[in-house]
Amino acid sequence: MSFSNRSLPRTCALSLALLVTNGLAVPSTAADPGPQTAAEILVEYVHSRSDVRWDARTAEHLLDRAGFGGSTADVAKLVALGLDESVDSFFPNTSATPPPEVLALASLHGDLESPEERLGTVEARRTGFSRLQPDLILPLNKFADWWIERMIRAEDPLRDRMTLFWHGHFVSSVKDVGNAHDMIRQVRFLRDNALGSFATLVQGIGKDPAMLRYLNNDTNVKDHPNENWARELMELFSLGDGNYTETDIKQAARAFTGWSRGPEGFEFKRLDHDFGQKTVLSVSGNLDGDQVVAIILKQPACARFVARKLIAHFEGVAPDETRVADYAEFLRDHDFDIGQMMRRLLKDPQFYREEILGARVVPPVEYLVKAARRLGIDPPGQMILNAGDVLGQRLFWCPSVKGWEDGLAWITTSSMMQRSNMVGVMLGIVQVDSLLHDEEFDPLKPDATKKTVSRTNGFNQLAYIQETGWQPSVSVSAWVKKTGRTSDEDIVHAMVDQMLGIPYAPDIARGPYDWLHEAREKAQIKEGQLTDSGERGETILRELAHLILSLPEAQVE
Amino acid sequence: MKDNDIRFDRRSLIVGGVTVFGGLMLSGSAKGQASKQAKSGSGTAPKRTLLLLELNGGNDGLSCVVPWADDVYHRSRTRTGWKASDVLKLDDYRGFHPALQQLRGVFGDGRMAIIEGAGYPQPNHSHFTSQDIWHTARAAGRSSGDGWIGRVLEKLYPDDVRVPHAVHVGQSMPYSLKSSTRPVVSFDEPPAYRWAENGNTIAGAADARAPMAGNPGSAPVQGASPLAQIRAITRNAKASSEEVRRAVATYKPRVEYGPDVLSQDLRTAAALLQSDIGCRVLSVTQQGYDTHEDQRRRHDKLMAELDLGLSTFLRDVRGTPSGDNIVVLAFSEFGRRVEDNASQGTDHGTAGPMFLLGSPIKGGLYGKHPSLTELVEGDLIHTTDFRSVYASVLETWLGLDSQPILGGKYAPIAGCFA
Repeated sequence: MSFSNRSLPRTCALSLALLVTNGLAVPSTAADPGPQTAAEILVEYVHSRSDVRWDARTAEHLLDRAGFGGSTADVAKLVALGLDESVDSFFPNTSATPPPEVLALASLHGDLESPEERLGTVEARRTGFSRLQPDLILPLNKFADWWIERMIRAEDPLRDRMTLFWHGHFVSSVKDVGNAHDMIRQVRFLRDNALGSFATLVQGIGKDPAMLRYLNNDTNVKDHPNENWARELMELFSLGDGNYTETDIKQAARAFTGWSRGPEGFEFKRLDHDFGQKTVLSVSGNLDGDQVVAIILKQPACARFVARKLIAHFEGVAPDETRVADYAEFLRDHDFDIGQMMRRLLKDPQFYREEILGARVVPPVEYLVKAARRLGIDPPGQMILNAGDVLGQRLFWCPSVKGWEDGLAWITTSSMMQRSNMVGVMLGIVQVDSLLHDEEFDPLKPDATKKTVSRTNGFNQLAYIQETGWQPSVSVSAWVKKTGRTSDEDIVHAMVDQMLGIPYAPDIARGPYDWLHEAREKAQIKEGQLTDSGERGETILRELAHLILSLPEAQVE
Repeated sequence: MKDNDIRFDRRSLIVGGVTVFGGLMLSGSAKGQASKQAKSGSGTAPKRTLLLLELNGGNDGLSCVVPWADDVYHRSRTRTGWKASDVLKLDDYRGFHPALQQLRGVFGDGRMAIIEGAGYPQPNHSHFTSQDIWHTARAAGRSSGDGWIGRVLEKLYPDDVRVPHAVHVGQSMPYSLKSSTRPVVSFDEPPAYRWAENGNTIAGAADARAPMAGNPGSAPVQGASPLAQIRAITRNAKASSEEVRRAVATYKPRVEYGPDVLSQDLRTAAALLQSDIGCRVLSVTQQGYDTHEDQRRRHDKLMAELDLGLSTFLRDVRGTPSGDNIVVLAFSEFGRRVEDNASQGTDHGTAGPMFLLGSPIKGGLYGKHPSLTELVEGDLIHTTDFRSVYASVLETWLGLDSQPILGGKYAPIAGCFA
């Protein structure tokens, strides 16, 4: 529609609000795309955004929360589009771009890597990767190159944000799955269905080979069933603690007996299945796994559980129960369509309320991808994969079936340091080898080798990437020059604006300004000459970017 | 950073009687004061300390302290059970897992207490809900507020919000240490516990917020915005980086630790204990106890690591002033189902043993082994509330009134301290 939101007179909106509360308005639906009357358009307007102030702040909020952030210029584009079209732009008409099937398959058999790459792996092993298994690590690194580089380019950002969400919801870890191919297949399944129906997701994940292995249902047989999958399905994937009994779990475990895996994926092993009577969530019969999933989806608690978790993740603040109930009803009315729910959420005025702006702690992988986008650098995906590991979010390797915990749990004394250090690695400022060896308190003996091996796989892999001579291709000077800013104050202002997910404020800029002023004076560069001072100027500007992204203010959005 | 920033920070630590969460900038005069404070904390008579060891995932109590003389045990554990002849017998009913050889020695020396059948009413079979109950000591879990150690810190240090008295060594900090008013330190990789570049500037810039007009005070954390909390955590990171790294890098253990994660984390804990940086509560986690399948191989390995790690730690610190003043409390969120499953594993259960170790402990068996025949839905019925063990540690060891910390009155276990 070509109706400009901002051109609508406020009084008009108010009178229509009365119409709505009197129940006279007929809301338009997605199934009815025909011509709308002016009244209907106005009703939609009143419904969705009478109190959203659409400006750089709210536009950046959307860009950060629905995608992977962006530059000041990206924000300006969304401001011009208006809220409606901005949100719609996160829902491209194309279906999921197929991930590289050949990569996933080839990796399983180990025939994708060139002999040099194989050698590299052996070398990596020799120099300290002994705990690791290249057959697991290499394919995942390669898949991350594909997946995370798409995030950095923000080709289909909401889909990838949702994939990250589902990856932390329907958790499996390659540590227990023991096979990179199955993990990649699972992430592909989640990505393909990331904005589809929750019912499809939960039905499919129960037959997913990685999940069957991770929660041991592949060894769940009628004589002495294994309850692991049945329990986590209800507790963590669909209903939440308190919405089922221990008996429900034991009975459901019986229904899932025989759900196993074979060479081609899911396999139903008849002889292992318990065909007897079961009662799950008050429904009795000779139930099988599919029927149990259907019973779960019918529970009112299920839609509430999904709605609550999605809203909390994207808003960064736990929603009140009225809103949960509202979105749960919407989900049930729309066959659990996650895409429709997300479109509704992103257009909801509540999504833009003051309380949640700037109140979300940015999770590690998002933080790193967003930093790369704002810096205009294009690190290999596996660099972010491994930096994420250092920061506590190791993709494909979630530490517990509950998934990663959102919010302030991401921030510890240690993670504050490593967030800074990992951005430093991306900027080519921090060398992992020197980070792992603490010269200050443990000086090297003259003849000692500098090589230190970390227990954190991510550190070792990053050191390896740096050993190969990787350097970021970025020119902060060129970017600053393009903005036309020259004074210290203006440069800091522009960079703070570009780097942070919260609005510029003078007190945020104070530390970086003091630092820049001092560093520039020390380098004997005149104010206004930084971008014309070659490598010396570029180094100072990169360090300034590093400093800004290390601030507490850079950890929230 | 500027001196007036530091002064402001220190002055603002207590605002109108409400303590706020502030870090300490370790530079100049502030640093001298910090180390003096830490010394007076450990000084000539070392403070009593506590090491929390969490066996994460649900330790199978029946494979750890095995009721070898009970026929029901052998009938229930046809796939994962131990033969009577294999267990390290403690008496005519129970014995240790065969891998716990060193700990059998510690028990024999009278420095290990086993509290049997520890659990709580209406047991929850979710790892996460149950962990929350153990971490907060409350049935309501996290909705009740901070972790129990967080509450301990408030009681131990009503006026001191500057020095991090609780440290977690390892990847993810357990909620028991969660405090909304006291600084807590957590790290995994001691040499890398620093900003490689720009560290002073980053912490300084985080601190520059405090003295700004219109933004008074340091970061009050209870109910504060995430950003205010992150600023406070950043200051604490800065304040602790140097001390932690020095303590670990310069530590010379008296015995060699094993290479596995648990042993190395315990080595780090010993280093912090022996330094004078003011740690009162140390926390270490051993992961991997959720043995739904292939239990023998997995649980056996965990038991061997536990045996090696704990016994090495105890040997290392024993006989030193700080080492004779530490108590180890080991626990798990639940035990496992009495009957094993067809995956050669065990599913989530209820009650299990807790352990207290160290020179201050009067070793032996406490509580009562749960019955293997009186079960609820196949699960053991707990015989001791785990909060009674917490109460013993709080009252007898740390000299605190346990009731406000645990949110209820729990009778301490009689006689488990020497």
